[in-house]
Parts: sequence; structure tokens; C-alpha cells
Amino acid sequence: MSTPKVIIISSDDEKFPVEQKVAEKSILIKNMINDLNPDGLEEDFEIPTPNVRSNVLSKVLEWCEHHKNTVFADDEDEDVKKSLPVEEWDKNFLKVDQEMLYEIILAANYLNIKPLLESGCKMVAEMIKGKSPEELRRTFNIVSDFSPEEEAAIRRENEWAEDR
Amino acid sequence: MPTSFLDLPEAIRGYIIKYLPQQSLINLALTNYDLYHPCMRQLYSRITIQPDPPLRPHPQGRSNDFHDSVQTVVYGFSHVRGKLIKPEVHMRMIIARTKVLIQALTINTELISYVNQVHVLGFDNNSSLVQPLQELINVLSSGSVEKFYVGNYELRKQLNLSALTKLTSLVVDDDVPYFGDHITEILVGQNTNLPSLPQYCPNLRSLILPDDHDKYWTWINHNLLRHKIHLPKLERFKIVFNLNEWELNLQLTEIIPWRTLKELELVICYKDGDDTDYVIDFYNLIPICPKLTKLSIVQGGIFPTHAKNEVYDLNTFNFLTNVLSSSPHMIYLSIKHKTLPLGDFPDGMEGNYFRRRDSFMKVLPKIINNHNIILSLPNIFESFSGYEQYMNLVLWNGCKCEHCNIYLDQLDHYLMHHKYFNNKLGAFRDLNASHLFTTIAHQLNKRMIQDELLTQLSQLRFPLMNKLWDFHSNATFKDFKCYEEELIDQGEFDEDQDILPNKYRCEFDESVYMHIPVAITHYLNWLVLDVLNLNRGNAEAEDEEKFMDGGDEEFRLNMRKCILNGVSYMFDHEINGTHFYENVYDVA
Repeated sequence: MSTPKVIIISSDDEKFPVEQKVAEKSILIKNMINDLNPDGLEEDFEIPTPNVRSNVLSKVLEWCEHHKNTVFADDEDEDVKKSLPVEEWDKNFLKVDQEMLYEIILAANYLNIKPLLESGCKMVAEMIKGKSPEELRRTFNIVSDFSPEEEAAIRRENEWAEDR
Repeated sequence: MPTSFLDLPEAIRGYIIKYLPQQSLINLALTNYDLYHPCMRQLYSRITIQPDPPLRPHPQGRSNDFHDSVQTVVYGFSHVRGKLIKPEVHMRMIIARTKVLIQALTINTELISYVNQVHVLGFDNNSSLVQPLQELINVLSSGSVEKFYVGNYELRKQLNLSALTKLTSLVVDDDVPYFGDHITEILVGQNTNLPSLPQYCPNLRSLILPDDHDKYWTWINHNLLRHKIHLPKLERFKIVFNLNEWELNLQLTEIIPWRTLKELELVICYKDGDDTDYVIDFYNLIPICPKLTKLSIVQGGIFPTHAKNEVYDLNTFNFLTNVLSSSPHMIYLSIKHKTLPLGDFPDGMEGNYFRRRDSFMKVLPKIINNHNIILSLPNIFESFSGYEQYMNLVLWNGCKCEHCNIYLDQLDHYLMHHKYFNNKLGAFRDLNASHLFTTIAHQLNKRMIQDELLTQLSQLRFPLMNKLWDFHSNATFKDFKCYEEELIDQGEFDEDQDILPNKYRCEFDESVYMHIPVAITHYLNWLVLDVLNLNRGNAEAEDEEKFMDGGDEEFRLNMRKCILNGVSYMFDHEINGTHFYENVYDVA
């Protein structure tokens, strides 16, 4: 008998059969498998992910497949996270349009895949760094709701922290 | 489906904002009201006031980290190449910035609640800072600041922190009142007697003392061992091994909850004589620490020869092998040496540079490779620069790039026109490459936190600083002295004609130094190639070389980051698996 698969079902009902090891990169899925199969997987196991569309899910699973043997540090140390860049493979993998990037981030958050969430958030942070407020509004489609006076007041308030 | 950054849930926007440095936080806050508060929360949460600006990654860098987002730094002006600003002008700017900060907190009181930690680092006893700092403390009293740390004792004792009732971290000097049992961290400053220690102990997670052997043991004996106090929740601790009374080491190790300890700094002082086994004995005292995440090993005294340092390092590596086998969560390791002020070891010419380089750049990475460790070697170049012969090679036959052609040449010129004070002879003597590189390495190390109460365990909590050097001050008590007259080049010398040497006008200052770190990192790059097991071959090499492309079957590096003497290196793999490195901050 072949090893049982985990079948992840996207919101648009597409089925993605994957190895258990790959699926378990998602802590949400890992916990579901363990809770519902206390003696281990004996047959294929279906898990619906009603929040994740098939094109996003396939991307996320590509990431899980690539990292199936990667051992990630399990710590929550913020300083350590900040001192590391986005891994080269992840950086290439996350070179997608903004909308897709946000959807991957949301899926990683929902599925509880912390290293992917971290890489995604760092990619967005990289996009923010070095841009003026005007460039940020353009890049991220943000509509300003400040009056010129309010904007000037915020600038004054934070002058102490300006790089100059 | 989210199409804009603003469509993301607040929590996720919060994760992203955490990775932003101060200027980006201000810029993002200016875009929209919904982003204003989360950006401000991050901007005001951890503030460090210090003389030097933080280093910022090169915008086009391939593997930039987010290290400069760990603190919002109040500094003077950024150092711009070619523009020199006097220290007093920087100082005036720091005070002006602090006053604007106080004003912001006074006008918009909501911001006060965002401030969690303030550090004041790297200042001497500067009287002009006292008033603004006290004002800042007073304004913050209505908030929930957990740490207000002032590194300099003279400055600290002029400030009154009693209004900050929510502090959880406390520096104890003499006459510090009891702050309540919510204190979880005690940093022992100028203190000998702390009668309230038993009250703090049940909740204490961090206890850090000075590095000085005698100060350390006087305090431990008087306050801890004498009363047989236990520290059940301790997670962070510094041990300065006792050189004189072995029994005290044993007593101290008995009160530390090793099974729950997360961060440990070991300080090993030097004991005169031929016996080197005491280092092994110290290391053997450390039991299994299954929760250990950060480890720092510091030389508390100068091991005065290369030979003794080599033995010390080997003992340290053996210890590390043992620790790592029982501490699966280790993520950070720091090894710091104590070097002679000018690096002039008596066996400077004989010392085996290559053997020592191999031990740090090849052996050590392999020892730690099964863990995803960030390695910090805060003054490894300082320790290597004591090998005089090799430093000559670095200076005169080192990197041949355009930048180094100019600036190694400048260093050569500097060397020819400056003297150092030789203590033994009581007179000035000619500088050598070892003196010069040791001093530069010392300056590069100052990019990192020097504070013994913050320890080397905290290096990732503070951004690297852009520290400049005036080219004359050094770690001894006498500055390098300029020659009075210009040297006459042999080629210009004509026997028939008397050439009077010109008066030498030294032009070496911070503005020249700004270019030096890049040249030094070109030497450090060679070291890094060893770490990566990467050698693409040298067309001019005389011997047949073994090509290594890193990432091969032989050795695949797991280490992601190494801070070499204040220079930050990232390691990663190309898509084809080959290793590559990136120097984040020092780009020509």
C-alpha cells in the first residue's frame, strides 16, 4: 500500500494531494492531522482550506515542498529575526505581484506557516524601505486622509528621529 | 482579496512594520491615518540615545538584513563622506533631538504609552545631557517604561529614575531604593551591598554583574553566597570564573537553575603561569543547559602570547562541541578576545597566523554547523592583527582593487609618518602594520555595544554604529604622534644637492577614515571565503590550488550570519546551491 497522502482542498474545490511531511509545514494542518489521527495517518486525509484560492494554495505548497527538509529555528526572538535577510530562494519565490504576495502572506498566516509569513512580511518591508511618503502612496495604492496641516504636524512631531 | 497594503489585517501590517527602520516608519506614518498609530507604536517603543548614527544597509544590497530596525536611534548627524562635523555640533544636535522628543511626548501624550525601553549609551559624563534626560524621565513617568538604562555611571548617578514606577530592569548603584518585586532584571553597577536582593530574587530572570574579577566576586560573596540565596527563575546570567578560590565557583554553580537558563555569558580571566588546564576546569563546571539559546564567551584578561591564545581557543572549541550537543535551541554565539592595546604580542612574528585563521574560519563553522547559529566574533580581526608578518602582507600585498590601491596606499603613507609610544622604552618609536591594524580593528569593534552590563549577548538588540576614528587616538594612553618632517623619497635624493625636508602636515582624520572600513573588509572577505569553503582559484597562484565552490557535498553551510569585528556578513545559497556571501554595510 502506498503511503497515505494529505489532500488539501482550496476554496475553489481544487484538490492538492501532498506528502504528509510537506503538509505539516503548516502547523494548523499538522495539528489537525495529529488531533484527528492520533495513531498516525492510515489513509488519505482531506483538509479543506476555505480561505485559500487554488492558485495561492499551489504557490504555498510549492514553498512547503521546497522547504520540507529545512529545519527552522523554533524561537520567537525578534532581534534574531530582524538580523536575518530573506533567504535567496524565498526572495525569488516571492517575486510575484503585490496582490499575490498579500494572498500568500494571508494564507501563511491562516495556515500557520511562520517562516513563510516572515519572509513575506520582510519582502513587503523591503518594498517600503527607502521610499518617500508620496512614493509609498503610489506603490501601495494608499489614499492620503491627512490635511497638509496634519501632515506637517506629524513631520514636526517625529523630527527627532529623522535620518539626516 | 487584498489589493492594497491597507487591506491587510492590522496584525499582519504590524508584523511588516516591525521590520522598518526609523525613517521608513515616519514616511509610512505620513501616508494614511490607519498607518499612523502602528508606525508610531514601533518608532517609540525602543529608543537609544547615542553619539553615533546607526549603520544603514546599502539600498542595492542583495541580502540586506533588518538589524537597523531594532532601535530608534537619537544621534547627531549621519556621517557623509567628505563632510566632517565636529563632536560638539553632533552633541548639540543630540540634545536638540531629545528636546523635540520630549516635546512630542508632551503634546501627544498617547505616544508616552508606546515607549517601552530607553538606552543612553556611549556618552562620557556629559553635563549638558543631564537636564534633557531628567526631563525625558519625568515625561515618561505616566507611561509604562520597563527599562531606562544609562551606561555611564557618572551620568546615571545624576538622574533620578524613581518616577518610573513600571521599570522591570534596574541598574543598582549604591543607595538605590527598593523598586518593588516587579523587577525581573538587575544590572549591578557601582554597588557592593544590596540588602533588598532577597526580595527581588523570586522573580529575577536576569542578573548581570561587571566583568572585573574582584568586583564580581566581592558582590557575589557578600550578597548571594553568604545568604545562600537561590534564583529559581533565572534565565540570563554572567559568570566570571574565580581564579583564586575554586570552591566559590562550585558554590555559585549550585545556585544557578541550569535547566531553565537561556542566556549565558562566561568570562575567563588570565592566570599567569604555564598551567592552562584551568580553562578546561572552568568549562567543565558548566552542566547541561537544555534551554540555552545564546552563549557568549569573553576573555576577561589578556592571554599574552599567540601560543596561549591558541590553546585557549582549542579548549573553547571543545567546550562548544559539548554544549551544542546538549543545547538544541542555540541561535547565537559570541566569542570575544581581549587583546593588547597595540597588538604587539612578544611572539608576534612567530605566531602561526594560518593555523589560528583555520581554527576560526574552518573548524569553528563546522562545529556550529548543525545549528542555525548567528556567529559574532566582535574583535577577531583585532586578535588576528597581532600577527605582524601577515599584517605586512595585508598592507603591502593585499587587495588590488581600485579602492584598496588608494586607501591601503594611504595607510602605508600614514605608517611612514607616525610613531607610537613604546611603554618599555619610554619613547616614541616607528609604527608597524600590526599596531595600525590593531587600532583600526579596535575602532571597528566599537561599532558594536561595549557595555559590560548589556553583555555581548545583547549585540543583536542594537544596530551597528557608524563609528569614526580620528587616526591618532588609540587604546593606549598616548596618541600616535605625527612626524615633524616629510620623509624624503630615495628616488628624489640627489647627493650633490641638499634637499631640506618639508614640514609634515598630517591630513589624516575622520574624513579619511570613512573609506578605511571598506578596504579592511576586502581583507575580511578572504576570511569569509574560508567559512564558505569557496575558492574559485587565483590565476596568479604559484601552487596548484584546490577549487571549492561551496555548497558541495563536502560541506553545506547552515550559518546565515556572522558579525566579524563589527562587519556584518550574510551567507546564503544561489539557486544552484553554491554558497555566496554579502557584506551588508561596507560597500565602496
